[in-house]
Amino acid sequence: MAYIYMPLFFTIIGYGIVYVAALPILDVISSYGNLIISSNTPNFDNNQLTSIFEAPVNKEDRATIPASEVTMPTEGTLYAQITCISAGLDAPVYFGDTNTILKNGVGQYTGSSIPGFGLPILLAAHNTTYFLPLQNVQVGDIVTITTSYGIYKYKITATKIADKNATSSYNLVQKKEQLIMYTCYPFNMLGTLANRYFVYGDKISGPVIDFK
Amino acid sequence: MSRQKKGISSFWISTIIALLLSIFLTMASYLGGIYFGVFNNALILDSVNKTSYYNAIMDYTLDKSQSLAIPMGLQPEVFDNVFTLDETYAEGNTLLQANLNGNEYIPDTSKVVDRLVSNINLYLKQNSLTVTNEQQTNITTFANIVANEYFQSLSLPYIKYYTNLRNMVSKLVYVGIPVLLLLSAFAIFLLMKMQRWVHMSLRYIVYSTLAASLMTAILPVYLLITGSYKHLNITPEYFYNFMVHYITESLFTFIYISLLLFVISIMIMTILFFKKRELIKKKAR
Repeated sequence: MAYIYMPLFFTIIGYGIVYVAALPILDVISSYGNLIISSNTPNFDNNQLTSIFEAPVNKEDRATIPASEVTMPTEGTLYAQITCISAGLDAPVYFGDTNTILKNGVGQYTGSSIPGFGLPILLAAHNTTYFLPLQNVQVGDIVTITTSYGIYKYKITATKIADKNATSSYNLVQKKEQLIMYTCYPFNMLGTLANRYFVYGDKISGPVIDFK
Repeated sequence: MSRQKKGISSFWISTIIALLLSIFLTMASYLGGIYFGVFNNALILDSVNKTSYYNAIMDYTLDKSQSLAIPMGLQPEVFDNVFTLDETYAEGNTLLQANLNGNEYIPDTSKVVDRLVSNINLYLKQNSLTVTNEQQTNITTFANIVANEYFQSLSLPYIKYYTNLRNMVSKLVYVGIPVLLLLSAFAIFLLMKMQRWVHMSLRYIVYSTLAASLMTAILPVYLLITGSYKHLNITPEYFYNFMVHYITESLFTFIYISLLLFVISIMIMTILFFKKRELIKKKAR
């Protein structure tokens, strides 16, 4: 029996000593650990896109919508359709802007808001596919974003060509629902891709999300 | 001091020395595990091979390159045969070996650039498209961007930190293990001197080796069973797979060392058994 309880006793004492010695740095270790360890095994199935988008029925005339009626999209979720009839733009809008999403439609930067929240919306897509019609968009055109909870219209206020690294081209901290769409520039084949084409629009209609 | 009191104090002193011995052996085992497991170049190379690392790099780079080609208006077929497994394996392995040895190596991506430019020109020709000088320059620039992506993918992330850390830990191991083994030898010497009979000394040594075996195994076994290290938040997927395989193999190194200590314990117990029997026989005579 001594061959069992004596090693066990040593083990408990040994681990106890290590625990007491490590006590001052346990919080630091735990903090660093939490940075790289998540609660679940990571899911790499980014290629799977999902959808929560359904065309809204009789919802366009509402001024407000309870927040409880809005399903927040997760990355890779199709949640809206963007159209601009005059420019020939008609594309699905996904939450997130991974390569897979941009191959399948318009991607929304996850650090920006979705329609109805009174905050900026930053959308991107490829210049040779879904955002090719951006070259036809004119100031004054109306862009419509249709979500499951409401229809939102934005009037184009400006277009701009900027360097691809120019972060001053968009302001994501403004308290205004500004639609910002961008794509690579120029639109023609085998361009330098050093620039971005920006299109800005202000919200003119669509229900506001009510948090009360 | 009465004989009984002397016996009790001898027991406690021997127990404390045996406890210290178990701690020395555990520390030596952990240092050994770190040296032969965590910082073992062969284990990294093995993990790279067993997780199809280079196949995954090729797929990942191809997918990323095809995404880069979309804004250029190029079709995915321009990447046909641009990346080859043989080349990826050869360049990747050379880069990895060089990095592990603390050397710099820049993979030769010129063939990738040449093949991609040639494929794009062929594509343009087949579609009767003519390009300006500026566009021709853009093709070369694009091919270089793709080659750079390929180079970035070939480089094992954090390898330089790993090499620096390994060099630091190696110094600790080279000093630590001999010191701990010397301390262990001294503890064994004291245990031998304290007990009248050899088998009694061996008994305390067995307690220590068994405890060291247990202490070495508990943490790795816990991690292997719970799999908490598989919750690592790292991307891309091929790097995650590599890391999980590498950590699993490293944890097994500690288990092997623990098993070695267990086998040593069994061997000492066998010697102890025969020593004790020898003594009983002597007494019976």
